[in-house]
Amino acid sequence: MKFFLSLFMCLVLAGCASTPHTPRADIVMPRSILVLPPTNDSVEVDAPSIFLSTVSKPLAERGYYVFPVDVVARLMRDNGMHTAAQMHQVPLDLLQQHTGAEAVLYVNIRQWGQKYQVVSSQTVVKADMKLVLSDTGATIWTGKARASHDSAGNHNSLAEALIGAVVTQISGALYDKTYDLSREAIERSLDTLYEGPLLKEAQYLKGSL
Amino acid sequence: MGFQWLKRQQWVGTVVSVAIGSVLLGTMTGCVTTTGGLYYWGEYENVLHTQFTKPGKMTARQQVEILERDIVKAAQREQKIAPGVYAQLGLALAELGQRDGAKAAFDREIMLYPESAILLKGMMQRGDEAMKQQGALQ
Repeated sequence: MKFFLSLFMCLVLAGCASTPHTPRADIVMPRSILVLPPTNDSVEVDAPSIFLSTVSKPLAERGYYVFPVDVVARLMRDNGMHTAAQMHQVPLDLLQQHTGAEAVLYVNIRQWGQKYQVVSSQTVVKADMKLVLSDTGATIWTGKARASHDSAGNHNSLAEALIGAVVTQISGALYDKTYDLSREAIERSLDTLYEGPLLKEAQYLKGSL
Repeated sequence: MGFQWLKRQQWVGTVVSVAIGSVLLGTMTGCVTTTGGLYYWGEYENVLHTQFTKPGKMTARQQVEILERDIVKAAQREQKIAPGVYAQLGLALAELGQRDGAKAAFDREIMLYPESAILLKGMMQRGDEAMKQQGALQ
């Protein structure tokens, strides 16, 4: 009976993914977040795009309006900015003027993709994030999105590990393992971000409040 | 005595299995899941991912088809369509030259998410100005 009770507790804790923390009454979180295309220090050219495709959902589900990332990218290009570095230089008041964003998320990709290490192939994603209020320029949150997956698992021999590493390295290139890792990394890093103002509103409309 | 003990064991076993089953079901549906979340996301993330990394594999026409289907599904499930879906649909429709449809989609995003008004109204305005310029040149 004790076994099932502890199993029950594990299931309950595991089933409920990160529940957002409600900020203190004197802290007002921004309603909307503008996620700019990330700058990229990795060797994976597509890293910023993959990150962008997985950032909207976790942020929005936490109670923030996330501006449609493709529209934002086009807005930047329409205004003559073609690199993320250029986009990150745009003054906050100008961003606010053109989008109405209450906050901007600046992202830098540190590492992204397969790391071949002979006996294992590791898929790693690392991105640093900074949330800045448009009004004041104050940084209200920073986060490190980190996740990795190792091919070295249950190998019985060195030969198996070697082959496994090569197979993973090749298949990693064909099938994007970083897509799922990106979600995982972002989701985990948002643990420390307060819930947004839209959360209670949306829950109320859903009828769950 | 032995027979009674056996029956109780079976009963306990059934109760425990039912309890575990309902706990599993409860934890899977009760917490933040695809249906338990605030919005219906459908294929939005996949659309973005494919469009960004393999543009040839996600044409504007395909985007329209997929996103419109998701919008219908959200309505069927009585869930609010996720932020950005209507806006992305608008972009795809604009690409196909369906300006009225694009405007309607953008307007819908604004209605559902008023936070998007400044960005999307600006996009529509720039689209109109570009059209006027093209018209003037002709």
